[in-house]
Amino acid sequence: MIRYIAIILLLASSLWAKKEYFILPVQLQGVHEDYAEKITSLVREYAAIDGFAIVSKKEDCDYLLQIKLLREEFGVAVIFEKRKKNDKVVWSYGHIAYTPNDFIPIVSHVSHEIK
Amino acid sequence: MNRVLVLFVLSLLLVGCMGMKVRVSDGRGDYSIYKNGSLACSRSDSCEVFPSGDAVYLEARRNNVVYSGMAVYRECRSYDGASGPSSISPTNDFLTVSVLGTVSFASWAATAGDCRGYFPLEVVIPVGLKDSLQAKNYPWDKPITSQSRLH
Repeated sequence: MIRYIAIILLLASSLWAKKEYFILPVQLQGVHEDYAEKITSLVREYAAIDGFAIVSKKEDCDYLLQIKLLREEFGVAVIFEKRKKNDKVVWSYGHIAYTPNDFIPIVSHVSHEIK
Repeated sequence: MNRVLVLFVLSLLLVGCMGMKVRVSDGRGDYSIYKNGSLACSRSDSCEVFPSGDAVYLEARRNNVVYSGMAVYRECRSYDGASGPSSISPTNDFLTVSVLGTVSFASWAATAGDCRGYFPLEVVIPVGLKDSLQAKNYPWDKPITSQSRLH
């Protein structure tokens, strides 16, 4: 009986395991690399709050996270793509940021969606 | 008499189902308008949505990037009896008069003595900053300075 419970718990453990993301190099277009660092560090902060992990090795992750910062006429398009390890995009979200302060609600929303 | 009765019932059903025109503040027509996460209009220069419930969330998107979003709620308006539809143009067409009359009555019946609320007939989704120069001139291609650092 105990053996069966242990097997069930082991199989079910994947249901509450933390999702692990590897952040790919941020793609920049007309944006300084300082903003890549800024948004990446925000993602790490929100990962700690919302309960998912950022790993340092691609092979250890469940998903890849691609961030793009693309200069528009007014502001920067901030695009997040959640990808499987084979690079297939499973979810994406884009929002305009007019100043760097706009990164915060965008990252907060994305973090809530991908946790 | 039967025709008038049918029109009256139909107008009661149709009250509150009016569309809401949607446009964006910068006047561009190349945004897509999303209602509660689903595509409502492929262009923002001729968009009409039909909201339901007490609130609707509208987004203006272009190339899958959200430029702005806003929640729109039913406006609470009470019927004061003195206001009403604009004067009915004189007409000899009994059917037209019947329809206008039943619609007027239905509108009164829906709001009389209670604040039921309607969605606005038109909304403008604000896009961009009030100071568009600030948005255009922000030095995204320069390093973050102490003045532009996030607090």
